[in-house]
Amino acid sequence: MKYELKKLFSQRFFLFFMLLLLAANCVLAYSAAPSDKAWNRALDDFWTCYHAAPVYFDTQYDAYTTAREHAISMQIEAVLRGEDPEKYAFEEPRTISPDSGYTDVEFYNALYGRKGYGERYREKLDRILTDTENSLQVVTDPYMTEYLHEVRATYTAMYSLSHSENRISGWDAYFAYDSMGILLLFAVVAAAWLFASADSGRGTEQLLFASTKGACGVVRQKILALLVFCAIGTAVFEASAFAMFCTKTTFAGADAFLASAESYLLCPYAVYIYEYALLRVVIRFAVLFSAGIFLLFAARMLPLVFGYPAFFVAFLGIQYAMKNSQTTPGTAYRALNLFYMLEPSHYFKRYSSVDLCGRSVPFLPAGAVLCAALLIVCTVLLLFQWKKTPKRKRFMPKFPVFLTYTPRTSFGFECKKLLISQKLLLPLILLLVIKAMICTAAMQQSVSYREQIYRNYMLTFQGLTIDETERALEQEHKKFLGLFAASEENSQRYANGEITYTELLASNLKKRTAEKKYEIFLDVKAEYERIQSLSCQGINAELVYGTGWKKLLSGAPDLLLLLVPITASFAYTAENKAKLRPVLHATPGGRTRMFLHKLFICNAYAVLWCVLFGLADLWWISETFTLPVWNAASASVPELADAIGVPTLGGAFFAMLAKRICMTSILTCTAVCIAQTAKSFLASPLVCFAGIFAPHLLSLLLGGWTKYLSVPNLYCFPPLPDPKSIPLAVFCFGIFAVLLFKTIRKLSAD
Amino acid sequence: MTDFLLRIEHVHKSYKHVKALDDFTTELKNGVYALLGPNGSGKSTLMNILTQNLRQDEGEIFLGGENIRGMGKRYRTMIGYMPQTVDVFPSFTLYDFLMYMAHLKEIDRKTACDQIDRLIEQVELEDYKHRKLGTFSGGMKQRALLSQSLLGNPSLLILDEPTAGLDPMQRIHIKNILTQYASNTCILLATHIVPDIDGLATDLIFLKQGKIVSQGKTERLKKSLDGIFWEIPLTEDLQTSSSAQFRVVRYVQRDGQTFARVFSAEKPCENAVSVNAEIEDCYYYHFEARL
Repeated sequence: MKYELKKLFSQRFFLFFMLLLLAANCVLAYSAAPSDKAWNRALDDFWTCYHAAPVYFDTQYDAYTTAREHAISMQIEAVLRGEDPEKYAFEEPRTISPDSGYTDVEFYNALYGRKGYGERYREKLDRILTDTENSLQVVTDPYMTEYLHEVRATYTAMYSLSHSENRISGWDAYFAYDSMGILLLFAVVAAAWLFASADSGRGTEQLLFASTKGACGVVRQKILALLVFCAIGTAVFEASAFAMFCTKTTFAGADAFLASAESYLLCPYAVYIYEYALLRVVIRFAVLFSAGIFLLFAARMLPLVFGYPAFFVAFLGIQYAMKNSQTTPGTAYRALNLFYMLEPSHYFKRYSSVDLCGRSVPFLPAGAVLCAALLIVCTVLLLFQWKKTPKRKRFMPKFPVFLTYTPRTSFGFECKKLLISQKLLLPLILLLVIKAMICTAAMQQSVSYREQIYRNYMLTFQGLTIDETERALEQEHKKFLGLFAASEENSQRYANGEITYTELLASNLKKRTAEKKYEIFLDVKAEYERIQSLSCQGINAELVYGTGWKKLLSGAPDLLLLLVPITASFAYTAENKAKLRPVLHATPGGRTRMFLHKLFICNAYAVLWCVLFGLADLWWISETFTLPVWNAASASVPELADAIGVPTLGGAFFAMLAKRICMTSILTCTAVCIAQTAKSFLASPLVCFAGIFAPHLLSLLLGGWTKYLSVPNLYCFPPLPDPKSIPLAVFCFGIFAVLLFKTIRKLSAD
Repeated sequence: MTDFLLRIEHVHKSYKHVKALDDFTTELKNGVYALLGPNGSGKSTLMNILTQNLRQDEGEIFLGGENIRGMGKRYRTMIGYMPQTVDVFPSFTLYDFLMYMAHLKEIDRKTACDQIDRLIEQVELEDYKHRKLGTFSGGMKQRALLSQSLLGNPSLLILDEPTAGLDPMQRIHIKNILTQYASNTCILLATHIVPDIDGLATDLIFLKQGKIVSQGKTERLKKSLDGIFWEIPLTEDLQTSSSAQFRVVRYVQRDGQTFARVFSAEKPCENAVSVNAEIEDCYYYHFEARL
């Protein structure tokens, strides 16, 4: 085993890579660690909340139960006295029933402003407080009044805490915490790959397998070495982060802060410090080791560039299968944290290495089950297929017809070489399948309440003349205003004793429903007014269906079209691997002509993939959308849409396809040029870099319309709304990192 | 048939601080030129420069008086190159590979078909014409590579260790093929297996640290070393001490007796017999004896 470790650590570039990761880990941990001052502030905030709200969720429930029991006993007594029991009927406080109480996680999210949560929950708190105030005005029951007072105190404290400026920066901690997991995963990926490929020299493996230990012994040693590496890696990473944490904070503040049993949710570092630390380390180690084992086998059977995406694709595939196998969503469904198919951010957030290595506690079952399943599959493949199948045929798609065909032109030969050398053809095909699955799922997707309302509005308003639309909007607006006025009036009438409290609640309920609808209506109205102002400027525009696609399509497979230029650069793989380039260059047509032919073929290949993905989109659109126009194009580059107006559905589709083809072609040309002028393995990371980071840099430097030049925007159909989405970037960055790692390895080998 | 003349003049090539070729000057005509030298002596660098895969730092190369740098395609049409053992395209069949190379050499399809059939026959791979190169043994790959280098009847054939990894029969076979082409082709052949060029190479070029140590017709070079190589039958007392007493080139077994072939400017001992120098002796003389 120690020889296996020596093989790993004797590679200087690997040590350099590890040190780099460790340094990044330390920097992140240090930058995110809260200082004593921050702890004290957080502690103050917490105790403010704690004292102000002696009744928290449990107490809240107790108060609710007591009030209800009291009401029931009063009703019984009323019956015994011969009075009308309805007089003492328990009036369910709608907004503060136990069912509407927050979970701890939601509370935490509300307090620490987790992306997409903070604002929403602050609004919710705000609304609850208003409702409580309203309820206090009408409720006469003393128990209920007391209960409402307590609730008001609790939520007031929560509200003030959620608006506190002294909060520890949740995002900083969150980022550092997650990054550690990802960095560790990269380390394990690198190590697994090295363990797998260390003996790949010509004849080395046969030599080792022929030894007394045999193949099993060698593999066992590798697994043991990986285990040791994961253990040491996890320990070193955790320890370094902890050390960084210690340099910035003493534990006086943290100790006090963590004294409360339920406060651990308020800061992820709580998990670090106390009894959860060991659990977390063990879980992280287990997940990393499982991932490492998978990658070890994957890398033995496949090139790493394939192994890494395969790792994720397999995860997603299994998650999807699990989701479909669930008949009723329940605990198991939640525990396995199943495939959130239709929202890209969730899609990645929940299944990326972030969750598996960072906040892995709730997701352990999913990670463990998946890793185990993959491990079994790999082992079975290894046992039954590995030795029987020649190396070049393992998992590779076969092209029997194509292989027997001898091309008649250089184009044909280049095409043949490209397809034969396609190590990533299978993942691309898988991507296409996933894309098709997503499109199918999108078709079957039931429309949400909000979507339904919006859709109804659009169906009503679209196609009307300007006057008609205006009139219809006006009419709808009046309807809302009338409803709200009626609700106000009912409150007054209740105060005057003209209506019962139940009638008031019914009226309020109507108002609440109307309010939801009203928000959407106002959006539609605002869009209409924007279009009107464009019309005034002489720009032809009309009201179009403008939402829904965010939820109906996951852009992930589209994003991974980035693989196409990378695979195109593999057109040079065969001759580079065989060191045949000097021979080809020594021929009259082996330079410019061959390069041009390659360029042409690679672009044709890239366009073909874009068209295939486009067809999947078209299939989905034609099946799902009945609306005549669609604003995908305007969403991707609003300025452009404002200038040229809204295209038809077909127009929008072809615009997006053209955009995608342009992006792919540019990157393909870059990849092929790099592969020609430098080495093909350099092409992949550079293209990744160009594709992911260059647009960001460009938009930072130039601003303006260049901000739309991101990979998600140019590739995805429809474009993704948030090109800087971390979960999306994580995956792309993962591929990039692996390729970069491979490059460093190659370079050091050369 | 026009006379082929490739003139290499004062070619220098360095990699950082290492001089791969140092003022290399020579002329190549039709015939077999064996390029001999230890590892790192600059053989592959020279070949890469001649195939235009590398550019020399200084010096020029002229083909028939014309600088090859300006000839581009015209020059490359005239060369055939076989590098050291390579894996070729494992998924291509032999026929595919040769046809592909013919395309790159801009040979028209009909001529290419004829040539490919002839060459496949010459290298005795007829039965493997439609087999994938990935399934070929090392020797078969070498022969496949040799056949591609012969495509288009090149005037300059550059072969980098063509017989490496081949069995004796295959080596003889390749030697025979090259002999056929030697009369009207300039063959530049780099090898470590000296016996392979015995009887094949018309000229020898000894290269050391990028410099030509010696160069000339094989027979002339061999003759120039006559009288300094001796064979001593090993007696019992010499069995153990011979290597200490003499500068032994190698030991030879003949008729049940062991002879030490030694290098010495004078007769080393009484029973020493002067022998004619062979190419291996020349190699020894230039790279060991002179040290």
